[in-house]
Amino acid sequence: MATASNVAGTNPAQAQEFTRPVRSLWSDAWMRLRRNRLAMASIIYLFLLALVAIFAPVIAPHSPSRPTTTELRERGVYRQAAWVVDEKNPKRSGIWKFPLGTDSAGGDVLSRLIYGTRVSMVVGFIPMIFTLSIGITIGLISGFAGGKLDSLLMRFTDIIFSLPDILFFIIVQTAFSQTAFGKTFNGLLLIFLSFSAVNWASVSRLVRGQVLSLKEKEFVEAAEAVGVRRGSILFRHILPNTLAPIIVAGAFIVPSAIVTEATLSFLGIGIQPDTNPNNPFPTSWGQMILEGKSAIDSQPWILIASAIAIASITIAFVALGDGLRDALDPRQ
Amino acid sequence: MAVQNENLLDINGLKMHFPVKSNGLLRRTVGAVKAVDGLSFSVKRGETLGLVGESGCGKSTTGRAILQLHRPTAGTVNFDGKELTKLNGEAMRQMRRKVQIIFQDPYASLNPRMTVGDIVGEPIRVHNLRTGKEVRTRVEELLRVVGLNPYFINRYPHEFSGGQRQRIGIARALAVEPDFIVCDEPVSALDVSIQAQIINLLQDLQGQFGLTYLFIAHNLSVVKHISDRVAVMYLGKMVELAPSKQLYANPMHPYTQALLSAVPIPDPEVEKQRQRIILQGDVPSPLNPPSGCHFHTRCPIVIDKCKVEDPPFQDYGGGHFVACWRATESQEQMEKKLQ
Amino acid sequence: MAEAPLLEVKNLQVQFKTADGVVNAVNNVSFSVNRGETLGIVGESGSGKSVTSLSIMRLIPSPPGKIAGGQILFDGDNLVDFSESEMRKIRGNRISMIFQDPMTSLNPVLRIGRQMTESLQLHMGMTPKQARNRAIDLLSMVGIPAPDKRLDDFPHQFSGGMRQRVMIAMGLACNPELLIADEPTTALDVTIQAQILELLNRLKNETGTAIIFITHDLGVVAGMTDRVIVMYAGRVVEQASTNELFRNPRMPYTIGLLDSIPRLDGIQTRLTPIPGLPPDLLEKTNRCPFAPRCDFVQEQCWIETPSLRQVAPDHTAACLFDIDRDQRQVMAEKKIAEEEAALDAALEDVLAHEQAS
Ligand SMILES: Nc1ncnc2c1ncn2[C@@H]1O[C@H](COP(=O)(O)OP(=O)(O)OP(=O)(O)O)[C@@H](O)[C@H]1O
Ligand SMILES: Nc1ncnc2c1ncn2[C@@H]1O[C@H](COP(=O)(O)OP(=O)(O)O)[C@@H](O)[C@H]1O
Ligand code: SF4
Ligand code: SF4
Ligand SMILES: [Mg+2]
Ligand SMILES: [Mg+2]
Repeated sequence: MATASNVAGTNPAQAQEFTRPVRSLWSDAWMRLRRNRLAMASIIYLFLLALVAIFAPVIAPHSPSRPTTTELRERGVYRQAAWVVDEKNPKRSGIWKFPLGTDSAGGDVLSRLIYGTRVSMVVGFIPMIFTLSIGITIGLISGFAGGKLDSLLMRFTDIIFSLPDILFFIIVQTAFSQTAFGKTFNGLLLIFLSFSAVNWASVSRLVRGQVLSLKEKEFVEAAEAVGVRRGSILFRHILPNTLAPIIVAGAFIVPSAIVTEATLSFLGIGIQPDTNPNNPFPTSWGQMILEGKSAIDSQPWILIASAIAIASITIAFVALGDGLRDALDPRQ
Repeated sequence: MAVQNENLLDINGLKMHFPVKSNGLLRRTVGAVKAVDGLSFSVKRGETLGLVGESGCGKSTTGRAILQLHRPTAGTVNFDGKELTKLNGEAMRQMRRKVQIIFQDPYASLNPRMTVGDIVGEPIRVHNLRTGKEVRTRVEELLRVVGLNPYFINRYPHEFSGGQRQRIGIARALAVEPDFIVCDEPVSALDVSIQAQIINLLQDLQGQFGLTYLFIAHNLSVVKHISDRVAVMYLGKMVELAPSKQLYANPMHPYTQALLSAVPIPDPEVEKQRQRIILQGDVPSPLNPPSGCHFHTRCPIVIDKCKVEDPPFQDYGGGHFVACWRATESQEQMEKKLQ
Repeated sequence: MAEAPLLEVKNLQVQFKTADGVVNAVNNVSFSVNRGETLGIVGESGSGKSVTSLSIMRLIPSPPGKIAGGQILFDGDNLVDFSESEMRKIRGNRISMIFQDPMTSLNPVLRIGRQMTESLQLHMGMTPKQARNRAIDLLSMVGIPAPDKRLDDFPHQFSGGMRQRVMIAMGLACNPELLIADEPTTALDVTIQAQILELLNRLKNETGTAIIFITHDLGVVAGMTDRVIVMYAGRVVEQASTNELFRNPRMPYTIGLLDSIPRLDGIQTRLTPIPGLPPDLLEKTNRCPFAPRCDFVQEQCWIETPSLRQVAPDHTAACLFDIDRDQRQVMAEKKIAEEEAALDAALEDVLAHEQAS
């Protein structure tokens, strides 16, 4: 603007002040995150995986579900990965039509892997949203209200926090997996709920701690002194300042949910395999690991491919979480 | 028009005790930090009352208790005819338009996620003082008043220096057009060269808007410079209150005398001549303050009576209040001690 | 001629590499300290006082920091060239340092006695028994009652003032030739500050240690020091004996500082502040660093960095012109009026702009 120079007068140091772009803490954080190569690589990788999950039917070379008998003849059972030559049994040598080979029922491993991305993405994000919503609500109420309500909520949180998760999941899955509710979305809904039910406790502890320390901050006192209503203080002043650690916590919940699902599926109590070709969530990586384990000698790539998939998505989320933590709180 | 009371603020027997809880599950109350322990004073319309004392003596707590940010344990706070300790809800919110506070820490006192425009505009919106686009215009005006360039309206607090942030805090306090502002160490965290800017600004604003200040600080030179009357606190109690010149020329409480003599003066020739009263030991804990006169453990001229009886806070003429059994002879006695 | 100074810093240059670029924290700083003398260093936050003193101790965190140039001659030896192990023999022994924050400079998990005897055993080769006795002597010297019992306390059992006394006792434990005190009383209350200053004055007279006293409080400088250097933006901008500096300040920044502070024994109705803000040390410029805030600024100041020059006997100042305090008031008022007008114009401008849109 032409007028800026009027104000700055003869003082070149001041002139720069007006032309500097506005930087919120968020945009500062974004700039720091962009400088973190590992975190940026993770973001790109996860973005690609998200595309794969959404466009699975387009990308997958074959249907993930059980092939017809004619197809089965072509595919073969436990066909090796494309680059493996099976000398004893040439029918099972790999061909590039099925790059990662096939499974016990003649399903294409690559296609299953691609569809499995969907489950992992959904299983990562939806429980994260559930977990954060419950955790944030309880943490905010507890920290902001204080007193008796706070003590009550925190005792409850402590109890949930001390539950042994895996045992809890096993009990819930065994109890409900055969009910109609347990079968919704191949049992995914049940997994979401049981995961969220035990994991919100750490989020609410985190949020409560943040709220307690923010409540003592002078800017909150200033808002109170100015006559801002309690609701606005909570939502305009306190909540936005807890978001940074919540985002970081969220980034770490995703891989933990993914691993949980894989573990449960591996134990045979996770999502339920489906042969219906129209089901959007026909298979998961955890199931593939379970299957791959028993076929480790005849077709190792079922196990290897799904294990790599789980490991890489987990590492990507953890790297992103670390990056976010550094970016959002440069002092640490 | 009704005759206005000369005093804008009347405080009587103000106490603020913070309970100390045990760590166990039951969290029983095991004691109390007597942060403010019975203050009575008043602030006249349009004046600046300075409040000095060492850290932890209860200055900030007094300020916050006046604003009802801490609900006082006992005592009354009468502001312009209204009893603040009895107000609640909407009535309290309305009162907040009249009484404001400026904080010490320019970093903690502004919400880092809000722009300057939102921070200064919030009080205006909350009290519906302006609507729509006028809010922004008003914010720009306020920024100008505190010496900030209105171009900065969309910036965030971390983009400013300490002194500039303090100005933003002042603009926020002014936004509700208050009558009375508690300034809680507004310059303590700033560099000397910036302190003077803020002190001048506060003085200008007082002239411009007819403000009344309670100016809290631990720097006696600053307090003397800005205040009409000065009150000295020690361990939750007021020990002396007098017109500024009077207090500095004729301090009657031994603690005030020691405090004044401890302040370094930026003049080597004066410094060489000065005799300091060096107090022994540290300030005792407000958790369990000494019996009688709270100052008796460090007072150079303590007598037996001081250890058992609490001296009254009493007017020794011309509005010079002192809480000391030996107020009238203290200077003479201290002089003797120094020799 | 006088004997050679104990410490001579010549053209010291210290830089820090940060994400935003290179910070020139100390630029071309030269000064000296004579034996038994107390030198004050004043300046506002970020002016390079602590970095200068940490450089003398060779305690600049590296990376990001480094001594980029200059010499630090201590008793004839250039400390810049010393190895870490040679420095260890000097630190705490011939030069020691007291920090601002008495809360963090003691190790919270070690007993006071242990922390004190450690360096005595190391540097003075004392037996544990001797070291303990010396520690008791030192504590009683700095005025801590019942020192033999307090030796077994942990730092949190001491108040702020007492911890600072312990720091002073530790600083003096090995009879150093030079004691660097970096804002030793800033964190303390006035009455405690008075105790500590009195203590330092007494010890100085008893031991004859040279002291570098860093502070931003001109009052403390006036009472404690023999000579003063004023720092601004990582440079020394004025240097004189304490009496001379307060009587006849010649650099506009020093003049500004003296006009900014209210005096307990004076009656100013109004202070004359220094306008504006301290500069960013990131950019390297060739102007006078004080130019954006100076009331006396001229064309020339924007294109030339003034270096220290003699303005009176034993008095140097970094200003291109001969300026004294009496000229300031007029200039300052003129400048403030100009800035007010500029701000008014800006407001009108913004308002007009908004009206239009
Ligand atoms: N470790 C570091 N990394 C980057 N910059 C640093 C570091 N230490 C100091 N600086 C920079 O060096 C400059 C001088 O700092 P220094 O600590 O010497 O200031 P000071 O005069 O002692 O201030 P104060 O009065 O606040 O103690 C500042 O700009 C500071 O930001
Ligand atoms: N919210 C609180 N809870 C418990 N104790 C407090 C609280 N606020 C202040 N105190 C205590 O009250 C005393 C006075 O504190 P304060 O008024 O902040 O002192 P000052 O402003 O004079 O430095 C101190 O001992 C402090 O620790
Ligand atoms: S009452 Fe006694 S102890 Fe208290 S200040 Fe006066 S003389 Fe000292
Ligand atoms: S050189 Fe110029 S700008 Fe710098 S102090 Fe002197 S008059 Fe001011
Ligand atoms: Mg305070
Ligand atoms: Mg420093």
